[in-house]
Amino acid sequence: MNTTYLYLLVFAILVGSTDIEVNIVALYPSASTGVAMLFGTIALSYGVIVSILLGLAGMKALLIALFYQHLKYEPRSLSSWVLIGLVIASLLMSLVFIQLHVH
Amino acid sequence: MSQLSRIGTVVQSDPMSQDIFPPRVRRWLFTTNHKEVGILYLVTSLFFFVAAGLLALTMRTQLSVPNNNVLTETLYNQFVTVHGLLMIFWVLSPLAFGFANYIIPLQIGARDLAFPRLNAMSYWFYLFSGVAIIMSFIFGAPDLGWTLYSPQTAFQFTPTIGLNVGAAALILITVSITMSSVNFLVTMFKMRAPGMKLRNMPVFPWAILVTIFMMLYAFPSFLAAVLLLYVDRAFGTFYFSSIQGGALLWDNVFWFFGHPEVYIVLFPAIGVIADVIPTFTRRPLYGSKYVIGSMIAAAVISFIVWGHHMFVTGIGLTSTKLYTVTTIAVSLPFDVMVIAMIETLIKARVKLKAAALFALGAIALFVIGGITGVYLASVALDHALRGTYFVVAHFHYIMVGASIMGLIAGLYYWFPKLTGRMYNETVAKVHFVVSFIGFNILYFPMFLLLDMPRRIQTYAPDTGWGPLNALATLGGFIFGGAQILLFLNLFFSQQRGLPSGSNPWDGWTLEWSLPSPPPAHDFDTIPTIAEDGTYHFGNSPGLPNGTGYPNGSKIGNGYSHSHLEGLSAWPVVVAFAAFIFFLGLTIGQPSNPTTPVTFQPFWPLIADGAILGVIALYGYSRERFQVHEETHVESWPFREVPNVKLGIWTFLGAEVIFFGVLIGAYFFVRTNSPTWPEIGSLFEIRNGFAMTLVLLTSSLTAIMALVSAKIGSRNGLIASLLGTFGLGISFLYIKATEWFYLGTHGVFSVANGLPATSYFITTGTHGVHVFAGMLMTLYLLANTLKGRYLKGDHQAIEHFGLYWHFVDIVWVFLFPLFYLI
Repeated sequence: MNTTYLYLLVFAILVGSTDIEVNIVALYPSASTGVAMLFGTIALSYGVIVSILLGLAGMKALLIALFYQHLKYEPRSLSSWVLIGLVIASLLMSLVFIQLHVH
Repeated sequence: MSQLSRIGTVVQSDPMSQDIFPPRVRRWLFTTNHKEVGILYLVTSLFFFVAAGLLALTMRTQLSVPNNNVLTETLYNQFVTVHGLLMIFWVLSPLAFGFANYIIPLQIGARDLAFPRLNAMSYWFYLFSGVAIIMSFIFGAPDLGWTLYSPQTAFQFTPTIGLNVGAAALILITVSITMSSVNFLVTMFKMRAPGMKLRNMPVFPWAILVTIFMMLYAFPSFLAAVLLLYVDRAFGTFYFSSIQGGALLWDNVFWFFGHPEVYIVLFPAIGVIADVIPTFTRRPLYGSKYVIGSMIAAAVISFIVWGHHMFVTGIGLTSTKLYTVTTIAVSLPFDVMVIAMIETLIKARVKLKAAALFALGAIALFVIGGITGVYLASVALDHALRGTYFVVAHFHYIMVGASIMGLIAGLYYWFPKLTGRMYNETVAKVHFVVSFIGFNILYFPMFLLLDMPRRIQTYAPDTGWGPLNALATLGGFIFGGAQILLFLNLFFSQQRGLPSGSNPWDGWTLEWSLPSPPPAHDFDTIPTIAEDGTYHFGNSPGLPNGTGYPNGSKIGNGYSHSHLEGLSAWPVVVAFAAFIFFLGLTIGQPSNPTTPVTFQPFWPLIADGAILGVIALYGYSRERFQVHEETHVESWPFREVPNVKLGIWTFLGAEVIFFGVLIGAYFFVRTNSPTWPEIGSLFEIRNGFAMTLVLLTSSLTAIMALVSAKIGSRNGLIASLLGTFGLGISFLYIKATEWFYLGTHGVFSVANGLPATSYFITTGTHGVHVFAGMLMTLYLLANTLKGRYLKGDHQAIEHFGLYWHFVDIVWVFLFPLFYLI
């Protein structure tokens, strides 16, 4: 695929995901009526929505890193370097967070 | 401007610097040569060592007898705090990195560090940060211990602005350390001599490499913590002064940094010892690969032991059990290291030179410090011993006994290499004996002061602490006095000592193959390391696997050795600009001493710093200081990754930790808060949505700029960069409008609650990153208009993109966190 088209496609996915993020807020349980869907009205729990939002944010970040920052095309050593660093950082930060809340 | 071609080669020096300063001053002010920067680090850190030592001796004098009044309570507390900060941040690591600067390129067969000007800038940031911490005495120095525990840092408990100046100093030195870490990491991964596999690197570079990894994870966390501390004090935010954040938040983010910091200051000394012991025993280090593996293991575990500093904070039984286990576990790799040293020594005929004596002394003291540390891993014992002089003794056996003694071993070991002269061996041995005795008289009695609280200014006679304190003070003066021998010996020896020759110790590592001191360009030809991994060049014919001096592969280096000065005026100017900018932010006296907001900007300094900084950064970027990348060097695993790109990715990794802590602090205070504003009640989701779209679009234009540069489309490149800049402005405009709206409606100023605190600080920090990116865009635009980046030289566009997309990624997370959940 032509790289310009690829970048535009990634951009479209990023914008579309952002649109989903904004609209998913309507599914909060506090919105008493929920959202009318084809098969009825639904409302998701707060935890589920937060997970979806953070998942979407993670996916967007991954897309930007892979295609705009070119990690997908970099030597495996560099992408592994970034990935390992990110995993260790995430684990450590999670550990801090867990520690804060175990208390 | 300087016109530089090739690595550090001054073709036409900066006229400004030539006219103003005499050559000798210019050399030291503007040097970028790793050896000279290393000497600057060594000398400066020894100066701070003296300063910190004098503070300590004054404290010991105060404590020598009961009810003493040499120091007031406040002054004593200030001395305790600044002594600790100086030793940890301005003495131990910089002393080690002085050696690292000088020795590591020589040991791995490189001509310099990967980014020589960045290296010089790291030093100047370090120096000015040290000036700032000393200057804090003028404004009422920090007086709450080096751990800066919350809530003592809150304005109501520490109203003097000296703590703000101290925070500025810590921010500056953290910036210095981060730059330095990136530089060393790229150097060691990408610039090793042909044949020098990672597994063949000497232990000292390995120790520094492991240290750097810890620094890259620990210091951004600390930077974020100090930033939050500063904004709490300056703007009255609530991270550490609220119940929801408070002491526990500080304890966690501080000790997440603080415990690895212990190993950050220890590992370089272990690396020195691991070089010294084999040289003076004439035996290879026993199990050197296990020693390296143990360092890596200890580094990893060091990040999951911080809770043992918090056993009495109520972190819960599960956590205390976990941290007891991990703390005991972290002692095991150190056992391996010590056993390796002992095994090397067994049946060896040790040449008891001063360097060897200090190395042996350091091992002995480290064993005592390490064992007493294991006591503190026990929850029960920790409850009894924490906050007492037992702990003071324990960590001084590590910090001074192991680290300082180990680094002094390095001073004696490499002094001939640095100066080309021998020191006086007799005086050096006397120095060791007096130091070792003085050290133990100073610190061992503290183990017996089990019931004496640390950080107290005086005590009553009936406590019974008087005799042991008097003994410790005597030891302090013996130990301190012994260091005079060191300074006199080194000072006079570097002038009058006997010529040392290139390898007075029959050393095995590469630096000993060079003349003493080595020439500016280090190696005439870059050496090649033999396939079997041995590369010792000693003049003793009996050495195992001796291969003689390397003649290497004669890689063409393209240098003219005669003019390798490598001067640049900009690193010191950038650092000075940052120094006065931060001083301007912190030294203004609050107009209303009753308000918990100490931010009183001193605009002349801020403006001067900002203007000078912009000019200096522009000059820095315009200077033709090209660093030539050797092509045949050992660079696994990053052979195909250019140095700058690896450096930027490493820097971005540090940024991930920095923002991670900011976001983690937000999570913490939010989940601890019983209420939080409903979604959409404060922030307009459409504002956040608009900013997200703007920033995502700016990422698209940034990547299109790279596409345009690659295909040589000048108009496309200009349009894309203009688009990125315009979208950046749009983002900041929407953000400013939102801030203004929230501020003027009075319900949501920065100081009226944690939702506002976390929102303004986190998004504000991100906004500063966007602003910095926009400045870069302007610079790239200016160069594009001059026709650059279109002929295959588009790397700068790519590197800018890496940063800009990272800023975009951060916002991708901030948007849902602040606007949607």
